[in-house]
Amino acid sequence: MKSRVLVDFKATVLEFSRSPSAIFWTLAFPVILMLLFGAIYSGGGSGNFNLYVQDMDDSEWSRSFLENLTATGFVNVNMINTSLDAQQVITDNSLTNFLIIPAGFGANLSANESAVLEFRKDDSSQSALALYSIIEAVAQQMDPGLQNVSALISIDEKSLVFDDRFKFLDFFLPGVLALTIMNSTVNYMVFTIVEYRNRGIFRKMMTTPLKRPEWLASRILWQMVLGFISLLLILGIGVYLFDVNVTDDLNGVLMTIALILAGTALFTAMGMAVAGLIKDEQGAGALAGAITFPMMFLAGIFFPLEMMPEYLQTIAKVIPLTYLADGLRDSMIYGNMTGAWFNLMVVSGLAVVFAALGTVLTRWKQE
Amino acid sequence: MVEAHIEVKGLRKEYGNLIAVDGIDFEVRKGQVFSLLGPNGAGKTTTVEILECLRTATAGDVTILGLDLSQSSKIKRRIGVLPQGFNAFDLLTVKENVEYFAGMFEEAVDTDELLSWVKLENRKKDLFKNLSGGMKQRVGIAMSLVNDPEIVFLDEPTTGLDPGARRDVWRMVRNLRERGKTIVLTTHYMEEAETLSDYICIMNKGKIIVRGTPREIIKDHGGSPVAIVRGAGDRGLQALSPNFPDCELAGVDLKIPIPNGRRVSEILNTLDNADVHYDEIVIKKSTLEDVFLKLTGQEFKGGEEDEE
Repeated sequence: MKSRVLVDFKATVLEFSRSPSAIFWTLAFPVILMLLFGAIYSGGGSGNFNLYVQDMDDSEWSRSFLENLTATGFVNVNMINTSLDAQQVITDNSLTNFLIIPAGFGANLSANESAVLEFRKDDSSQSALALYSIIEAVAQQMDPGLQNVSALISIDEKSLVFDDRFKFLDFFLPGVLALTIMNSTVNYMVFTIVEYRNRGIFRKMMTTPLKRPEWLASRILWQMVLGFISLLLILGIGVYLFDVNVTDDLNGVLMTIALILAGTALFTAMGMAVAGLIKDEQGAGALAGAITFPMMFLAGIFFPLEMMPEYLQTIAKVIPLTYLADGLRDSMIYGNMTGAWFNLMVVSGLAVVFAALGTVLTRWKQE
Repeated sequence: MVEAHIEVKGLRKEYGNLIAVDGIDFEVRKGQVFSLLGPNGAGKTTTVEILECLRTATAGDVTILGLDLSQSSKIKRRIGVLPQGFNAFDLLTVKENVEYFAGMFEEAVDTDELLSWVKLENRKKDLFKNLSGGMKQRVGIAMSLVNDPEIVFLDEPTTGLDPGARRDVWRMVRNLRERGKTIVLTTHYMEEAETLSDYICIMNKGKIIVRGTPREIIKDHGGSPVAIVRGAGDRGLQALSPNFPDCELAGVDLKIPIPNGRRVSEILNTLDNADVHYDEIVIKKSTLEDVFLKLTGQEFKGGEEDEE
C-alpha cells in the first residue's frame, strides 16, 4: 500500500523548492542573521563596548586583568597614557566608560590584601551597566581569594573560562535557531492552511481517503526536517566562521534534537490555531505577524533578558519562544541539562495545549 | 429497471435558522447524467457535498452505491469529485498534481492516459498556476477520475469558462457517459443541463420544484413556442390580434405565442394578406429558462462569475 503521508510529503517538498519566499524566510533569513551579527560581534577583541583604561599599576596582575577583559569578546579596551590627567581626558573626549587601575593594585593582591578598581561611568548610558558587570565578573574570576576556594573544590572549574560564556554569538546562535523554527513553522502553517482552505484544496483532499492526521503528519515532518536543516546551516556558520562554542556532549545533542522536535510541534499547533481563528489570508497573516514579531524581541533572542526592564522580563516569561530559546541555549551552549529539561517540559506542555486549541479551531469537515 | 446508484429521501440541511436543503427526494440511476439545476443559493452544492461526504445532513436517508453515508471512506474510494471552484497545488505541475491525487488511493489508473484523454499530454510539465481556466478545469476532471470511479460528481464544471472551454467539458461529460459512468452535474446554465442531461431536477430555495427528462419538463411546463416577427410594428399587431389575442408588441417586434394545434403558416398568411412588411421571423422553442420563469415567477440568475 502506498503511504498517503509520503505522497503528501513529496508534494510539500516540491512546493517548498519552488517557492522563493519560503526558501528565503526559512533558510536565507537565519543565515543572513548569523552572518550579520557574527560580523558585528566577532573578531579578536573588537568588542562592542568601548572601555578607556588607565593602568597606573602596570603589574602582572593588572596586565592579566586587562587581557581577561579583552578576552570576553565584549569589551574594546583603549589604553590611555598614564601621564595624562584622567578627568581632563574624559572631559576633553566625552568618554563615558573609564577604568583606572590604581598603582599598587597588583602588589596588594599578591599580598592577599584588598585592591580597588576605579570605574568612572556615565549612569545614563546602557553600556555602563553591562560593562560594570563584565568588569565585576572578570575581577571575581581572577580574584586570588576566590580562586583558592575553587581550587579546593575542583580543578575543572578553572577551565570554565569566562570569556567563552560571555561571547555574544554563543548566546545568539541558539536564539536564531529558535527564532527560525518559530517564524518558519508559524508562517508556513498559517499561510498553507488559509490558502488551501480558501482555494478549495482541502475540499478536494477531503474527497479522497486522505485523513487530516495524515496530512498534518506530513507537514509537521517537513517542518522538522527544515528545523534540522536550519540547525546545520546556523551551526555551520556559527562554528566554522565565528568560532561559537557548541557542546558536543551526547546528552546535549539529544536534548537539542528533542527541543527542535517539541518546538516544531508547538509552533505548528500555534499556526493551526491562528489559521483556525481567522479565515481570510490578510487577517491571518497579520495575526501571525502580531504574534511572532513581539516574540522575536521579547523572548531574549537578540539580547539577554537580564538587560530588559523588570516588566518586560515578566512578559518574556509567558512567551513560548523564551522557553525554546532558553532550552536550546542550555543544551547547545551551557550544557545545563537541568535547565534544558525544564524548558523541554514547558515547550512540550505548550505544544499539547496549542495542539488541542488548533484541532478545535480548524475542523476539516465543514458544517 | 436499471439499478439506482444514488437514493435520497427527505434530505434536509439547516444552518441555524437558514434552511439550505428543505426535504428533497430523488434517485440517480446507473449510467445516467443527472443534473441539479438552479440559481445560486438554491441548495445544489449543499446537496452534492452531502452526497460526496463533505458535509453532514441534518436529516434524511442517503444511499450511495448501496452504502450508507456513514461508510464515507468506502464511498470516497468509489466516487470522483470535481468540487465547485476547483483548484489544485499552484506550485506543482499538471502531472504532479494528478499523481498526488492518484497516490491517495490504493488503486489508481494510469495518469498519462488520463492526461491524454483530457488533452493535456503536452502540458504535463507546466505548473498548475500557469494554466488557463479551461485547462485547470480539465486537470480537475482528470483528478476526479484517478480512482476509476463509478459515480462522478461535477459541481458547476463550466462556471467562468469561455464558450470553447465549456464545449470541451461537455464533450468529456458525453464521453464519460458513453463509458458507462454515472454523472451528477450541478449547473446554473439551462443550456448545459438541457443538452447534457438524461434527467433534471430544478431546485429553488432548497426544494426540487420540477423534475423529469429535459423534453418532459419543457413539454409539461414550458408553454408554447413563440414566433417573433421583427420589424412588423403596429400594422402587424392590428393584422394579427384578431386571430392571436396573446400577441404583443415590443418596440417594433411582435411576439406571438403559438397555441397548440395552430400553425406558423397562419401567421405568415395573415401578414401577407394584410401586406405587412417585416424583416424576419424567428420561431423560439420553449427552454428550461422559460420553465423556471414560469414556475417561480422569478428571473433566472446565474453565478456572478458568469461571463457570458
